[in-house]
Amino acid sequence: MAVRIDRRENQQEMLSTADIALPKAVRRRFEAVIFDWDGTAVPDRQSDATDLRQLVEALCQAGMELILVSGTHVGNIDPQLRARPPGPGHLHLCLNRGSEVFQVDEGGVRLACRRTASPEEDAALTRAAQLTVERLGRQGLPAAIVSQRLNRRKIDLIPEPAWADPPKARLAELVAAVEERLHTHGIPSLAEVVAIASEAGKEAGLRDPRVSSDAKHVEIGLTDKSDSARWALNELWKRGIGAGQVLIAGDEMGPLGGVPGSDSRLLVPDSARATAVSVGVEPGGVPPSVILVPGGPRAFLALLEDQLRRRLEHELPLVDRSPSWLLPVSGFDPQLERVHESLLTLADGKIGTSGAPLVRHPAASPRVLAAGVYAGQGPETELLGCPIWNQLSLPLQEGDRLERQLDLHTGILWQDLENQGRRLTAVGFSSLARPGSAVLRVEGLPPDVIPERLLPPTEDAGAIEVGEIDGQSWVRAVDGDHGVVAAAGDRRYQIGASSRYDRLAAYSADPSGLPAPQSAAEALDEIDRAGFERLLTEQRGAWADRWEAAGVHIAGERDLNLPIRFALFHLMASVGSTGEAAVGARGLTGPAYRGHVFWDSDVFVLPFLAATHPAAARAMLEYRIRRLPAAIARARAEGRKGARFPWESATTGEEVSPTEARDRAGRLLAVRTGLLEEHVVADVAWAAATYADWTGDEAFVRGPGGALLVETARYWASRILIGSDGRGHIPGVIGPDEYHDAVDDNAFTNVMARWNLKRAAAAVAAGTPGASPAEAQQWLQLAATISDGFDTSTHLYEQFSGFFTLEPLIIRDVAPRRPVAADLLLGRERVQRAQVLKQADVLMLHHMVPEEVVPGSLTPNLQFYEPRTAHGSSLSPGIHAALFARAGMLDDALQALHLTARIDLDDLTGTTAGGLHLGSMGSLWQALAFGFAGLRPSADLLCVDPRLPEQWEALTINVRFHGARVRIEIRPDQLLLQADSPLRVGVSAAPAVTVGPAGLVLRRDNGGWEEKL
Amino acid sequence: MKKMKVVAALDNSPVARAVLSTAAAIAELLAARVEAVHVREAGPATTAAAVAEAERTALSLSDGPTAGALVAASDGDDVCALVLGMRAAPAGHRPVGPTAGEVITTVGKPVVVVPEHSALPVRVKSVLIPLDGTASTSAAMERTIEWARDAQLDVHLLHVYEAASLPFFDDQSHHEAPAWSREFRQRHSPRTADVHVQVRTGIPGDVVLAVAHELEAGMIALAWLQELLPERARVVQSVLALSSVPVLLVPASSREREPVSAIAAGREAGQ
Repeated sequence: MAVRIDRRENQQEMLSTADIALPKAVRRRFEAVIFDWDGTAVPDRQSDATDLRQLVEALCQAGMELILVSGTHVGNIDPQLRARPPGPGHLHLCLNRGSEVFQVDEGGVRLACRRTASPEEDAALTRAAQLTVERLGRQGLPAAIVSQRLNRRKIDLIPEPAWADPPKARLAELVAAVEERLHTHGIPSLAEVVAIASEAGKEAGLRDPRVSSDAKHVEIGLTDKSDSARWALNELWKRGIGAGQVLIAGDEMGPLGGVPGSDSRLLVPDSARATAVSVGVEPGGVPPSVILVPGGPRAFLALLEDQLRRRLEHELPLVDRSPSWLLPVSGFDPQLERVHESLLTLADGKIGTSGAPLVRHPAASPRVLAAGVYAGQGPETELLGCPIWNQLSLPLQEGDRLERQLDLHTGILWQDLENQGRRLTAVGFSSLARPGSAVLRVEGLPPDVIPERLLPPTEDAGAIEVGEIDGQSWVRAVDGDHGVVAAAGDRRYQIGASSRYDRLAAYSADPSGLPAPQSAAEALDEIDRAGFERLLTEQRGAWADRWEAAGVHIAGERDLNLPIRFALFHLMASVGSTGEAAVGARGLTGPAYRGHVFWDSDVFVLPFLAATHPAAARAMLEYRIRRLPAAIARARAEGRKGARFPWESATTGEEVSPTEARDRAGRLLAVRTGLLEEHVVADVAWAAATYADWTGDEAFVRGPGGALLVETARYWASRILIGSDGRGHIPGVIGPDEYHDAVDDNAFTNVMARWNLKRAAAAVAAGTPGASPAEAQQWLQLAATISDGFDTSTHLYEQFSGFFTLEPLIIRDVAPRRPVAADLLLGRERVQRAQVLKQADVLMLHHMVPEEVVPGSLTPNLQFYEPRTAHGSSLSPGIHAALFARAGMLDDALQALHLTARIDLDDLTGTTAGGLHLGSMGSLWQALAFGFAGLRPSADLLCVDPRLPEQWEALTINVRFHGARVRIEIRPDQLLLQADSPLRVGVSAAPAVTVGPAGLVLRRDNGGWEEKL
Repeated sequence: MKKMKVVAALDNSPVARAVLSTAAAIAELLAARVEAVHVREAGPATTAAAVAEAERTALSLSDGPTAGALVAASDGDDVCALVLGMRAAPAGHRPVGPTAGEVITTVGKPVVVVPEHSALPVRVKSVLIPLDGTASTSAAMERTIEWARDAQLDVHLLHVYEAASLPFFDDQSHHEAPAWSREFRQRHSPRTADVHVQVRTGIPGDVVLAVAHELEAGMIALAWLQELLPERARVVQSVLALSSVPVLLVPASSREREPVSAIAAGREAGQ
């Protein structure tokens, strides 16, 4: 892809529509067109549609989505249109007045979905039509049922030869003739006829009769064009196109004889942000929201021609301005710039790019990171800085105006910059459909500005190699024997006064070897062949698909939906779906924590992915699986068996925690987490089990996942000491509450070890290889001995041996506010001597393994430990939100949930500049899914046990369970469950029910849930 | 180009010598010259003249009232700083005397206030710059930081957490601390990377003095709003009252920090 200038001026042959003047509101790029057929796209059903066909096919080829809506059937449409679009854009036909949808492509026309009336509905339709004809007859007006189409009946109001098939151009005359005929028989208006038909429909037993009129006919049906519009908008949303990017075209938007025009039914509530036009005669005018573009089908062709021209001339697509999906950053604040860049990160699971402005500024920190590719060794290991694809050489200067908007629904970053009197706009994305590919399109780049380097290195990059292959430049960042190589190419287009610029980049990353420049060059060739529009279509589709599987929405809540989407977006973007996924504490959003992998990844991030996109969870586990040998080697070196995973992990799977470090005051302190925070061993096993529970992936449990369970269990078996009391003990550890180190019998560690032993034994019993039944039996015996610190009199678990004898310091009462870093408030030594917790420790058991704790022990332990918890870890509030919800303390749960949602948006840590807190983002989802919705996967059952705050109207969560896509909508008195394939769901304590595509509605009844009949 | 000057305000008190020594040290760092002034409000320039003569510095005389005369003396475009002594009553409640108080709250330029018992000759090898993390403070100190690094001083930026301003979270201290320091440096010293960041917890005034002692700082530089009321500028008042090294006061504006725009958007976009 070499640089070239493409001067495309007036190359697109204009059809015979040059005299049509398009109003300003439609002179912009749309991403989809929903259009009526008869009267809008074609003058009549006999006319030649060759021009239209060519346009439709060319637009689809240029990536546009087209949805044709008509009352008639496919036999009338397809022979006239005869389009066979190749894609990447799609053509759909929504026909039979909202009852059928067909997809059309090179292979022909295929039925996508059809609404079929039941025999009762069919009979009711006929009865309704008969009643209508009878009642009109009583007024002396002869009318006849002229057709019985799918799901509707059509009555001719003017069955006269002169008006047998009136052209649209004579619409006004037709309306006048019909009205005169009605008046003659004492019927005041067409609206009265519609009212009669509606009444007849209800009387005949139709729940929601759809009555419409094109003046000549009145139709009674089960569906109408509003169903087509809803389907179309929903379908477009699933392809990543929002209503604000849609053009809706008809010719009967305004009233006809007092009845709303048939195309006005395309204007449904969901289309409020769409642009609607009418090309019709519109004798009664059009609604205020509709733009009149007179000219009939010629005007519509002019609209399509204009859209095609814009695409062929490389015009920038606009983002959909839906405020609940858009993360805007206005202006440029040097102090907060790096925070903003983290918030606006683009990632595809393989590479992550900070949301730095297109142009340069010293306060900006443009950066590209590749998942799992590190530089350095030991504790100094950090993510390797990669070449940067989204920078121009222009400087950002004083007085420049900058707007950035990240569209969370499609992963596209929009930038709008007024730079020294010129305007630059740009869209960029990191392709989720083709990880490692990056796309940038810029409008307004001055012709005299030549981008010097397509792939400048990150500021603190190490060794850099550069070269060219077939005119394509490549840059390789190298650390020893591994690295990342990127190739990039660009094109400029001068279209009249508009200067447009495209840049594509392809990355090839290898954590364990040096990727060849050829690999990036080939990938670049591939995306170049695909072209911008196809890449854009794929990007939107890939993200929309992820959202379909993972969406969460709270109805009746103002402040949470965008933060939730923000969190889920970055969770999805940070984790790849193939190979291995090393997910550092900040994912791909920043360099802080050096990209090291902690339990955050296994316990906080993975559950969301296991429940929504299992391939990514599996890739995360693959990261652990490939480091199992290193974990086994460490255990051996420490005189143990099995596998000991490191507290901090990077390239090799060896421990990369430091043993000492300077604190904020510059004092050198011992760091013992790498030595003592052993619960990570069980956490890895728990992650494997969580994945297995959500997916039902038995091959995983019998294969590499089983190895994780077995080797971790084996570790605990060698680690647990049987004391003189006959109980199993684990001395000298650090629990999740890191304020106390080298403690004995930490309840969390011990109970997780017990769970690990039991789960591994169960897997072996079910056929997982790697351990004998006798060894598994020993694990069970050992598990039964483990001390867990539970006091049967108080129902409290002692966090570790001796915790209850520490100074009873209630941090809730002592601290000026919570959360607070209590070790900074009170000093490290003081918190060690006191009952002050950094985060959930005992309570983490109630969250992760509720089946392993004594029933009924959540509330007493929550009441005891939470006031003693400083929440000094960003992982703490989300988990407590979940626990409060489970305990029914919903006000506390909401408070913790709101706090969790704002951790990065408000930069509560002061370190969001270094990347986003993926662990707390994962805990946000867990609070909603596990806490409020009460979701729990098990071997063959998905459990739901909702706790809905009274402030919320509904909580909707989409998950995947054992391969099925599941939608759960929780309302105060109603629970809606739907799955795309049958599965068993346990709701609270009620007997399990089967849920399938038809869905199931349960009503709250006496504290339980009952099926609604 | 006209050479910049540091104005040393010499009175007849024991601090005069330290004031002149401080002015000379600062002038050397700034490649400026020293201009010594004495205001004859309360009699002839006895000590002041002797000190100036000992240091072979010309002494300009003017007539009082003293505060007004000193403000006028610092008014020229070529004056980059004013240096004066604290002269607070030993048992008084005010950190500086009334004349010094009037001057430091009026002069719109950096003013160095010199304690009476400064070690002589005054040597400034390092400077401690407390920053409260607000944009106004950072903006006020930006040039001071640049100047200090240009003058080859060791620059220590100090942020003091009070109980109410402690971080919400400190996940893994050994990662958190460098990440926080890096960002603090980028926010508050964007043009000068080669500075040290110090973080402490406690009462800011006390901590500033303790850290200045610990690091053997030659000067403490503070941004302030030039309000010497009892409940305002508590750090400045504490430091002026007890510092054993010169204190550079830099006027700041009261610009408020604007919220992160993404936050506002997130809060407004509901459904």
